[in-house]
Amino acid sequence: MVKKAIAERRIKEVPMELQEAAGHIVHDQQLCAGCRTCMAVCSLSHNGAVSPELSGIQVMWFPREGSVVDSNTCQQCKGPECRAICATVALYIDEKTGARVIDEKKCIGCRLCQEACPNKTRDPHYYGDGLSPIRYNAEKNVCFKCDLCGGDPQCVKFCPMKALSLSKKGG
Amino acid sequence: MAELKYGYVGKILSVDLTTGKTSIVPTSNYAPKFIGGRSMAAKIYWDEVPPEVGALSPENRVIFMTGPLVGTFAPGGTNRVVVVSKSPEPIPENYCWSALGGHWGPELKFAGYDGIIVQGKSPEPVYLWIYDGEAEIREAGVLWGKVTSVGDEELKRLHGIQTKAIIIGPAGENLVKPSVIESDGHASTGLCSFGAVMGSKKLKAIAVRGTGSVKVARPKELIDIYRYWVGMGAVASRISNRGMGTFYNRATPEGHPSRLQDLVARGEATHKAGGCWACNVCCLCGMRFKNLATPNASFKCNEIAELQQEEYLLTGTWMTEIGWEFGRLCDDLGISITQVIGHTIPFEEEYHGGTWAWELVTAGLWTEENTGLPVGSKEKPNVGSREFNRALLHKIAYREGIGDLLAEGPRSYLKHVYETAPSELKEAAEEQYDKNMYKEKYCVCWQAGKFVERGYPHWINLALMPRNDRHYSWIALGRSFLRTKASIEEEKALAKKLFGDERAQDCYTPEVKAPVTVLGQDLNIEADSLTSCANNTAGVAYIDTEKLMSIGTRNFSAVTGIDRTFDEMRKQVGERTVTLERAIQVANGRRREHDIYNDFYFTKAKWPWKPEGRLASEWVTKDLHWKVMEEYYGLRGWDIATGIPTRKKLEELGMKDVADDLESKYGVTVPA
Repeated sequence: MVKKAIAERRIKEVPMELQEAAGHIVHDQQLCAGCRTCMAVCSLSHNGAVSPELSGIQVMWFPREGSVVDSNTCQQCKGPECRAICATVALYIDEKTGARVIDEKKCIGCRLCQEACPNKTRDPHYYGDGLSPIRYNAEKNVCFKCDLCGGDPQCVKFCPMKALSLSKKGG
Repeated sequence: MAELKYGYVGKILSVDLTTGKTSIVPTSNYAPKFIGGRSMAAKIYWDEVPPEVGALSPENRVIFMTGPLVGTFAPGGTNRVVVVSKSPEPIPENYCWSALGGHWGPELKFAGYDGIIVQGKSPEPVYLWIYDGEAEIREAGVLWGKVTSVGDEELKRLHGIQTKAIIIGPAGENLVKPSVIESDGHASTGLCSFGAVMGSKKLKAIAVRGTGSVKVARPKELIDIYRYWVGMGAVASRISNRGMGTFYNRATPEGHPSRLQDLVARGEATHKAGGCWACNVCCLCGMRFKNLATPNASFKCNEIAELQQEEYLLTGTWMTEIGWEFGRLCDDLGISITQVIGHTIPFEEEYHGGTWAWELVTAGLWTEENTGLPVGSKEKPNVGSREFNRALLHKIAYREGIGDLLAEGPRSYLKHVYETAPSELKEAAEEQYDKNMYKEKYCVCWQAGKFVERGYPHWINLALMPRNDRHYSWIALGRSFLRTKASIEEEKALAKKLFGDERAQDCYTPEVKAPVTVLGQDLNIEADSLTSCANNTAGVAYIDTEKLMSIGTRNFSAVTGIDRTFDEMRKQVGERTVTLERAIQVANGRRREHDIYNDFYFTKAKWPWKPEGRLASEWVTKDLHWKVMEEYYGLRGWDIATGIPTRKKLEELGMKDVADDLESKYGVTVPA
């Protein structure tokens, strides 16, 4: 309830006529091999360190089930609730790609955006924090999410299975 | 003390199961002198395990070690964990190393550890739980006795779905010799019986969850290297068509699709690629069957390739559900597929290897009465069937009946067969023993775009192996010359550039093979120390023909920020580790006279490759062998008369302490 109230207030204060994103990352679970190269390259190119926790794309692999994969990517929503709920207006729209990006300088690490995301972890008991597309960097106390790498997503580029692509239009 | 800001995460966990205490050893005690993986683990072994320690005694260590590249984005399958311990498998027990891939190694680094050293023996079955730097020894309780898949599920239920675990099956618990440490149903330490070593310590599993990171010194450069390497396409096209290589690249020799391909085409099964952490190849093949009698599984391509080959020879069908189920059963029970395969599925005669289950039946040495197995009759053996496989594996894993003898390993079992055989079958039993004593399969060379089996460097490596019936390392020439489409002329030119002699290119001759072996070992060890995958490792070991620079060296420099040239890496990683491993073996009693294979090879063995139409045994003589070995000792700086590394060489490699220890502790006269 509180969240909804905050969101409504934010929507009033911040105009919602947003530029649509150029697209979002689409993950083909059938093609994916679960190697998590995407997670490695995402965290490496954004943080200079490799950590699956700090990757804007989340993939889980279940080899015992015959190589089944579960995944989650930011859908770059038309009306992003993460943006609406952000108290410090840290979420901005990238001019070039229209990606919904978190400004590290403004983010205070409250993690409300993680909560607000309609695409967040489905079953927290089962998955833990594992599949949330918005990540929390405890070291810097900021949140991080997919920014489409300025229009040239590294995960799409380096996927060895060609399981990732950039959809034509935003969510 | 060197600063290790990048690549390494800085800590090695030391666990004493006897006292239940854990402590932390700084990685900088060893790195970057011993860069990681096999190199660092060998050094720790040297420091902590004296030669008199038995493999299954509490004083033995089992050392899990990652390299600086693990958990980064470096190309070449950089996700491996090298496992080093004294292995109960060779006779006599000896230092051995094996490795496993998957996602456990990276997870360990994300949890803040470069490696784990386990010693002691717990009074009760336990497992180790590591969460972001915190390590805890917990009671195994119901986990003990569980097959690996169920145990792994239980650990994931306890600690969260993202937990990665290595675990032993009933085979390891029961100290079965051909046993493995298994991870996530697709990765295991195929050789060396480390499952039994963990079992002897009553350590069921190591579960890890980490949320940390591995820092990279020059991320942009690393991404460029990855792009360069994938662009080369060298490995990817060899073993895999963008994953699923085992599935697609395996038509029958006659060109028919495999049985599994058939099933998929008819909609009775689905298949899917799988991959270890950040691998650019993703060679694992996962299958799901509509017919639920066959378990779903995910396989390493090596395993499946072997299964296929041997299955085909038996059944005439290529990749069937029987082979699949066999592999899955082995995984569940924690038995080594590579070593047990010979029990069940015969090879063709030329492979003079593990055909013996079949041959023992046809020779009349095995009957349903004396084995208690559904072996069929002498005329119509049932070996390799589903029911036979199940019964056999179960008996081995739980050491029931004949399984108790088989669990000691094929060699000792065949000795038993020979000793107990009735006089009319003595000859047949002896033949089986002879053949199986010297079985080896991973011995391929790479020449002009295709595999050549049992090229000459293999024989040098074979003679030097610490494991006395398995590969010391994958073969030299192949890795160094690996290019998908290199022609013989190109290879000859490269041989001339590298060794000053184009005869080095020819796998079939002994000339200039010692330097080829030396280079191959250096490259292999570089890959095993960094650490990267054996299948993909051509990637790391691959030499850029223009710059004479291996990808591994470039990777290492970009990840750690410590610049090394190729020659420095060869000396500091390859040569140092080979010499240290040799010193370990010398302390264990190994000398020059042990660096040879049995008379069988020089007399009876039908080597499958026949240069110029001659059997190899017709032209490879003992004199020739020693000539090549002496050349090798010379290149390595070891004493030619004894095969012991010289003091000069040891000191040159910065291992004066090793030379001193050899003399003072182990009473070895180290040549000057």
